Amino acid sequence: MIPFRLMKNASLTLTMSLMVSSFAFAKVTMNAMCFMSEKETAAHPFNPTSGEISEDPTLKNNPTNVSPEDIQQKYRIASLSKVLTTHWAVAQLNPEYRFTTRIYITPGSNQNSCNIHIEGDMDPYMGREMLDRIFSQLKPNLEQAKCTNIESISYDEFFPVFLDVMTHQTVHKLGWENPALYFNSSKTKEDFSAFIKIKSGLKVNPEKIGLLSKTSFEEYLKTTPHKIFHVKSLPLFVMAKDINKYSFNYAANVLFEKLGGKTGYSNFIYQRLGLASKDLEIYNGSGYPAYINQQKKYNIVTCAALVTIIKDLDQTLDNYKGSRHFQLADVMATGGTNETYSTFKGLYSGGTFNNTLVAKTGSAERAITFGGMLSTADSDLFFAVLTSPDTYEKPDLTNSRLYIRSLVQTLAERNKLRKFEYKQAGDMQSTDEYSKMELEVEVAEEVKAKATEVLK
Amino acid sequence: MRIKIFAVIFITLLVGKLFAASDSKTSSPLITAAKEGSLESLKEQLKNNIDIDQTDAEGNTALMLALANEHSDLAKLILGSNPNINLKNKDGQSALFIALINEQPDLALTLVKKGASLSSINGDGDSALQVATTANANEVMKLVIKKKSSLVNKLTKNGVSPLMEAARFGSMGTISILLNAGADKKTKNKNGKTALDIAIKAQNEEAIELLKK
Repeated sequence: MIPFRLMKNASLTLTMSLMVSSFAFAKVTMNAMCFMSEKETAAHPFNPTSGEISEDPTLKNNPTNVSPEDIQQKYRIASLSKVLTTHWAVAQLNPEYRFTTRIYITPGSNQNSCNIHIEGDMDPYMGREMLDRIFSQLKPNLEQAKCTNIESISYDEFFPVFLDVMTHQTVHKLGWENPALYFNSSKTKEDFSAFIKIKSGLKVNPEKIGLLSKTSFEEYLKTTPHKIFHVKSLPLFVMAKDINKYSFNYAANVLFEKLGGKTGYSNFIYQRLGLASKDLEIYNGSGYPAYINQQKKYNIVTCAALVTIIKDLDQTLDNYKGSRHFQLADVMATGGTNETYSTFKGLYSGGTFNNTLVAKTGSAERAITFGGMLSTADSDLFFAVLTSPDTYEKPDLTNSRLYIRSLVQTLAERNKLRKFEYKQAGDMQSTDEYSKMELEVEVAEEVKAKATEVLK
Repeated sequence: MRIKIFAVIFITLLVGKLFAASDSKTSSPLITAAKEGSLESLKEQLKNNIDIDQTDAEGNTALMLALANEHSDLAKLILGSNPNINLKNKDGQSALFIALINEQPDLALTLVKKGASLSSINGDGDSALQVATTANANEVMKLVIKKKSSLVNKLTKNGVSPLMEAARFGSMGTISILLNAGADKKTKNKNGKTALDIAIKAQNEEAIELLKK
């Protein structure tokens, strides 16, 4: 199949090269573009008509030839993977889910000393701001517990820390592309120890800061008096919107691992939509190439599967009965000028897309992609465009974006658009009222003594 | 005969592809750092007396690659080393064009301030104003118009004016800038369409409102 496709596209490119041989514009060759309305269950290939092509110089130079087979072929989707991660998170948790981080205080070896343990919930936005909030609230509680000497601070394997998380910049040097390293103990220790030392105001021997597994701590807790406090993150939908607006790799990858990683996703998507390895192969939550067993792996998905997933995300949000109604615009960036930032703000800020488009871009190692939803008078229209120029003769990152925009514009112009109701909430804050530390449980000495008695 | 010609050209293309692939594997550390977004590696490279304008097989400089791959921190660093910002890659694209299309209007503005050429910034020969318009880079548009107002009504080789481009892809801000700069609403494209015709087809309500005035 692949050699045939290569030949097919090479010959197409060749034909085009001969047609416009004196023209310097690099060719962008389509892998697949497809769409599906909310009333349908199957995707259709998208190709502009000759009339549409005649109106658009970019399309004139890059005629498409997407067949029904093309939309069933797996291609790199790059950062459109974050929409898949969002879909999984919304379906498995819910749009208003808040990650709960628990802080345990247990007695130390001397009077007036104690230990702190943090039980994580894989909060993807555990950074400087949230840690500040936690430790500033912890201090009065330590004073109340008469703890003036902290013997140790431990955390479990579900407590990823990335101090600069609100900058949306992923640190490459730590080898974060490997799922096993997203929230490893050395990264957490490095960032968390730096925070404790510089910002927390607590005096702790750095050698007494480290990982303590969840099971080991649970065992220790059975016979130890303790107090449990908790803080909650921002709701999932706010995080998802931030991840998609900024195309933030780190948070998407952590969220993906929280939900169950590669194997978990395969099981989830098969059970939910019947999609299997013929439809997709997903290795991480961001779409940036993953390194697994020293091999570079790309998330690859068919166009048909991709629009099916986006449609299911929309319907899941629509069906969710929460504090209010939710829609795609709550978890993905919108077109027009109202978004504070998005990776497609410039090219799609035209009036055509003002509250009619919700989308996500993808760009990783020459795979330029785009997908989302157009709101039309007839129904919502879910679409995806996948180009992967390095499969072909001439890679071009920049013209791909213009080419995709022309195709999406053409799809929009083919339909009567309908504006959806959505008011922008602005950029994500790092914490909110749920970050207030609450006492959850207090297990006193005498209760523990009884428990120990029973255990004997 | 036709088959022979096809075979010769196909093999040429294939060899070209293999050559390009082999070339990319032997990219210089500077090119690799810019492409992959490695800030540490780039800093190391810049400490040495390297040629900041070296290119990959496609003629892309480190600046172009950093911009195309959206590594804005690296692009800023490279700009500090005074590269030749008016070089073009084999597709005729300048760094300014790449910055505009890859959603980096701030860096595009820096390039214009530093004296980037405004006349022909891509393989189509489009002006900086045409491209800034399609990217809705309003601050860049204002500066370009200030520097070269003759671009306001310049048509592309396909007969498209900046206002026609804005009618299809532009925001209210973009269209207003062009109208205030004297863009001609009556000009028609090769299909005989005015900017208003184009805006109506695009369902660009903001454009329609402004163009009807």
